[in-house]
Amino acid sequence: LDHTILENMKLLSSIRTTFPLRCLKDITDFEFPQEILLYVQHVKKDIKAVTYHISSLALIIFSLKDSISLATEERLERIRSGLFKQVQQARECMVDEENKNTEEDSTSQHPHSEGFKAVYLELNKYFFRIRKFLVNKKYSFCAWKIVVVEIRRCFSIFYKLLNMN
Amino acid sequence: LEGEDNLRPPEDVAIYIIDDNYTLKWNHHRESMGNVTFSAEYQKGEGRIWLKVPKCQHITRTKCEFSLLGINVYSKTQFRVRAEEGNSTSSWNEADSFIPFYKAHVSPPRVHLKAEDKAILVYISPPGEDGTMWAQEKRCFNYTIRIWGRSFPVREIKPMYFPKKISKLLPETTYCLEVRAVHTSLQRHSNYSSARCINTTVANKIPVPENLEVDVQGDSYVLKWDHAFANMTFKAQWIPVYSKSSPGNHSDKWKPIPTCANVQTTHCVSPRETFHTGTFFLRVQASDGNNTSFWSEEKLIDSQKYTLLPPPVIAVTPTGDSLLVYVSCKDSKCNGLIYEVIFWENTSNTEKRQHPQSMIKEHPEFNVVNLRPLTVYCVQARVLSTGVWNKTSKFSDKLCKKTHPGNSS
Repeated sequence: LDHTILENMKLLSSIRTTFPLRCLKDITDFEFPQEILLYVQHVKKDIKAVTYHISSLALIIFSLKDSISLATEERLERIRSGLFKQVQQARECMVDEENKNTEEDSTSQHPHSEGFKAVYLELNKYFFRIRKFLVNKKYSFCAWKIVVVEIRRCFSIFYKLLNMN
Repeated sequence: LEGEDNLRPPEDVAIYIIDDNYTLKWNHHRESMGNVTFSAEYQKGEGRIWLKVPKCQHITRTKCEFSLLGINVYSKTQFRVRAEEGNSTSSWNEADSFIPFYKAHVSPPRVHLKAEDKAILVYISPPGEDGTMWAQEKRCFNYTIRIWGRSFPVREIKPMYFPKKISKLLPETTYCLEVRAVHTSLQRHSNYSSARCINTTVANKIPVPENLEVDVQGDSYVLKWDHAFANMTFKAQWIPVYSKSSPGNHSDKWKPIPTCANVQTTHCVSPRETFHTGTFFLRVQASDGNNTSFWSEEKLIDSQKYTLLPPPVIAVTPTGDSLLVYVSCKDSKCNGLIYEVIFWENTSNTEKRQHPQSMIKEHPEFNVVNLRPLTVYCVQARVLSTGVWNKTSKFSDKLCKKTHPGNSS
């Protein structure tokens, strides 16, 4: 999974090439929920589920019809295909983890705790801010450049976390 | 407050949400026979201002239905309702605040069917399509299709790709089916959609191509299939797998394969670069010039299966009576691999020649110990992948090195 995340970070970098000065004014703080990092370092068993949700949310962003201006159709398809592979691998890892947890603790009821639900919500809020930013900027060239940087940064955070485990 | 004292506020304010559709309900004990109306307002987490609930102003009923699109469904939201009679109003009854995303129910998916002669295509539209509630959850829903028919017991299918093609059916036969959605993370599911029935068509004059297979020849894929008739022409198409991974109609996303666009053989060859995504689907269609078959079963191709593992490169360093061997992959794609090193004494004396000894590890560094001093040993290595596809590379080039004299490092 971490190899696939690394590959996708390279793919996203291939779009980022130069960052036009005219886009600086649009730079926005999407307020990446830092508490998520504390949570996954504390509850290691949920890092795969969190990675899966982030990958799914990122794929939805890059599957928006309005992402066409982002890159050539072929490059966009490579990115979507790479993200889809990441979603699939993260889901497989999540299911493996859940099966392992159920074996170890057959009394564990719902596979996700209240803590995970709160993290899930924070991630949705975070990606909702990204999506709202794209809508407000009418999916402009600069808006997409900024979103690519943000999602790449998000991936690199989780790439490091996955390698710490 | 002036005008508020004799009108009792509404009671038991409750909210029900399904996708982006809200139903606000309350009770009210009427004390006067006057004309009592009700108005509702809501407040979103971020802003402290109360907003008027659409279609819920000065109504006589004790319930109103509305949708709230574009709001942040992940932040705390609160509703309040009050009674009004003439100029006087009751106090507000503020219901408990809640997070819409956690309260919302899932509606059954919308389903569209398309019949072939021996198959049915099931087009599913995700719950709350184009709405806000599930806008970021499209990839979190799984679906269950239940299909049944005359002499066809109920069968449950959990599609991973869309539209789902249910094959091996009988022509001119009625089949019915229903679909439900399940949110995998929230563990919340919809009711089944209302059952829909459809008749398969009469048997097509041209049967579909079958047994579609793919092989690799150098930098090309070779597509092969079978067909019952001779003198047919065939065309093949491809689509990235991710395109079919979310519900919807993706018929416009199938791409032609130039070298397989109009062939008279049951095979064709296409450069691998035609398919620029790692995983894709293939399908083939037959035609006799007048009539055309339906599309074949769709074949899922993972290009990794056909990607050969290049032989690694090795570095050998004599240290004392041992050899330090380091295995590295050519284009740094060494992730998730297992390493095998073999070594043998390089001697021209055939009687003394030993079989190569082998060492296998998950790490690229090997320490080959207890060797004879001042002796030439040869080493080779290969890598094995145990991922989705078990693959083994060829052995690297051989590298021979002499061990150091005894008691030296």
